[in-house]
Amino acid sequence: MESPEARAVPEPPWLFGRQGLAVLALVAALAATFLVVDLAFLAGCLLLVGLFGRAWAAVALVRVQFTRRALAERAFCGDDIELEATLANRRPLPLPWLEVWERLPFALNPEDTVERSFAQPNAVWVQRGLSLWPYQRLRWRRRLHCRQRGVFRLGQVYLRTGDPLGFFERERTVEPLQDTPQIMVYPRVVPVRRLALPLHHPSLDVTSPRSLVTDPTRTATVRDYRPDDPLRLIHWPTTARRGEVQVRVLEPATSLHVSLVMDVRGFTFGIYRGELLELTLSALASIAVYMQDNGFPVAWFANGNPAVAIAPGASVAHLQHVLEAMARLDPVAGPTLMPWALAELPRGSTVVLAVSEMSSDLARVQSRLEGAGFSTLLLMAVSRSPGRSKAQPGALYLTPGADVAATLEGRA
Amino acid sequence: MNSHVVRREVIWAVLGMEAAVVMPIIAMTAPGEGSTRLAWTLVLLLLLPAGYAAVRRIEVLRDPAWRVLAGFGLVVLLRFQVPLLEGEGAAAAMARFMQAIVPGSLAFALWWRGGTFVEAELTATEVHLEFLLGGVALLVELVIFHGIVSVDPMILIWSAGLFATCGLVATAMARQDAADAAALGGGRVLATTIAVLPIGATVALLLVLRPEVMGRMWLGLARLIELALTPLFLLLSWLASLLPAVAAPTGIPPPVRGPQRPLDIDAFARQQTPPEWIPWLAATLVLLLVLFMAAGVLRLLLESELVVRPVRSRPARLPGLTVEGTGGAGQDLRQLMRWLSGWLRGRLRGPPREDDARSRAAAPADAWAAYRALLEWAEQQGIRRRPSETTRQLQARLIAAAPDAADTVGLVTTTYESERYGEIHPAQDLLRRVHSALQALLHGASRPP
Repeated sequence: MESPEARAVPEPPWLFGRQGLAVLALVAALAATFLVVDLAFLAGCLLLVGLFGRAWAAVALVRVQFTRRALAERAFCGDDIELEATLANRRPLPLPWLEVWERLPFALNPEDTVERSFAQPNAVWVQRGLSLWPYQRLRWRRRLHCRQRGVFRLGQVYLRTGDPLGFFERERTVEPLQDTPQIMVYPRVVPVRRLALPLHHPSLDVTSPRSLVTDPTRTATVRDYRPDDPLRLIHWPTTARRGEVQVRVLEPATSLHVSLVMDVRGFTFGIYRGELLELTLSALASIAVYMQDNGFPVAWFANGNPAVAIAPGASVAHLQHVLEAMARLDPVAGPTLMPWALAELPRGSTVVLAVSEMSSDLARVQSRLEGAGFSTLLLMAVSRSPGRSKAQPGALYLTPGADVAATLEGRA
Repeated sequence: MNSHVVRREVIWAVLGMEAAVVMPIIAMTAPGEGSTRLAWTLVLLLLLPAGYAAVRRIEVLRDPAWRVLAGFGLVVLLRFQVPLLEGEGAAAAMARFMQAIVPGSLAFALWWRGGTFVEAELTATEVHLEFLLGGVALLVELVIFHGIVSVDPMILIWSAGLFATCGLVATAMARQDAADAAALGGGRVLATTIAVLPIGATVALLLVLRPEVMGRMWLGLARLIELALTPLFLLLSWLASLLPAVAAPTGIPPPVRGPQRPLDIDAFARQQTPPEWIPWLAATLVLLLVLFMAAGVLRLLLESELVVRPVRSRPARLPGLTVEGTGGAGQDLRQLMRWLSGWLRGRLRGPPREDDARSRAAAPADAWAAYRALLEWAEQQGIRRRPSETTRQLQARLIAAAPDAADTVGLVTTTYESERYGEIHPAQDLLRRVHSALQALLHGASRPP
């Protein structure tokens, strides 16, 4: 229990309080009058220590500046980021000792953690002790390990110092500014080589990039004819103009739209709800990254509170937007999935429906989605694997501690 | 403070502090007079650090039985060298007993106390408490030894000096240990240097506060008290004059003084003179100690490779920590002189005009102040920085609103960005340019459009 919230700034000892200093002054004056050198020296020295300490503590934090910034404000779960802190002593007075206490989110697992905060259970205290000479500035970095998805704001910083002997202490609180950037931790993304979900489109076989579907109506450019080019791709006007056979190069097809839909209501209770939620989000984020890598638009819908609906897109910025929404997702129940999702989902898209085994109306949701013309694929979070006999065909099951990559690739 | 355990050097300073507290008591029981007594006192006091060093180095002494045995042997060895008082009867026997037991017990206590520090996990709070209690105890001791028991004044002065030095160094270093601030380069030097400052100040103060100065001070204080109490005394004397007078008793004889016995100086001197070999023994012990310390220092030097330093890079003690300079005393002095000259000019010219006040408000001490002045100017123009707006976005809006101020806005924004985001402190020339540009901007703004 050594953090500032557990250890208040101590009062100075009685000897260096007003009464004690008065007694010391009287003893020193009497001893000096009668030329009792030893007594006068000791009492005078103690008196000066008290006065000197009071004066020093009064200016202990004047022109001492502390700044802190995160070198990266976005990371994936499992990544490390660094915080850079700077302490400047812009004055002729040195700082023989100074304690810098930072309250940081527990989920960021900072190194050199001292203790948990009892005022904020989701935060921990880290400490750095320093001594600074006049006009010196110290800069240090602290590594944070992002072990949990979410959006985190850095906590308060307490600077505690005092007189060199430590009898008088002062403390200053550096409150984090409202516009301080937050640290956003995306869900863990695992590399996926192929998806075991039957998305009913040939373009998802990424093991052979040549098999990507192209759009015959959209020409990207023309090039010289090669012997294995089909004759239907010959561009006759250009061939006539150049005098050499030219063929069209088609743009990749982008007709596959995948909507990632999550029924948050099923993740608000249950023993493994926390772990299953993170696993499911990790799987959905991995699918989103995989789709974006292959150029397919992806949409994201979650019926949390507030509900999230992000239209399809295939750009990097869109992917970042989707991942941010996933990072911000709290397991708080919002509207029921069925009327809400039907109004939001783009027509013709393939729906990857992520649900928990706690969802009570799964069959009704599936039937309504299929009734509305959506091809539905099920990603189900369960506490125990159902076994082959009870498993739905084509569905993927995530259990606590599951290997997400293996599950998505169908190896689990 | 917290529960961090202090380092070894703090324990050495605490040992010195404790030795200073017991020094007058040890000196009272030490044999001989003058330098002999001082030498015996030091020899006995050395048992305190010797106990610590021996128990730390020799593991077998951490067993209490061996520690007791070694301490007992040392005490007997030391006391064996001191002759006991001669004489017959119970009083002499008691005196011999006290002469043998009391110093021996104290010496053993010192040895034992030194040994306990090896396993004691001293915290900074305990060191501070020990300093306070030790200081009060030593003050009381000094009062007692000056009023009741006679001890060599030099020993008392040494005691006070040793306590102040070791105590201040111990408390300063202990606080550093509590804050984990000792590992940084020069941290210990900084703490020690600052800790001994009060000692120098005290010596200077005592040189000023001579008895005649203090006498004048007391006299002045007495006059003040007399002046304050005069009305009360006048009232009391008037009230007393109202009471009936009583005659004073007469016929009391003066006290008679008896005949004095002549003092036998030679016998007294013979009794007080210690054997001649004691100073030699003390000198030999001190010499041995000095040689031992010199050997230790030599070994430390060789181990630390200060004498023959190999060619290699020294690893940083705290990885990831960068030390830089920031500002300087010259810059502060210039700012102070600038403020002083401005203040003097203001005093000589009378109340400041509105333009001067505005100029002073615009005078930037650094890039932050300059940017704040720019923001104030922008607010006067009706442009307020939005919370989500970057400096460049604000710059674009300002330039769009006031194209004439584009250069100044660009200069101030760039300087501020360098300081704020790049932590590049602007040079004085650049700050002067920023300052003059801002002044021109503010004067321009004061004019009606």
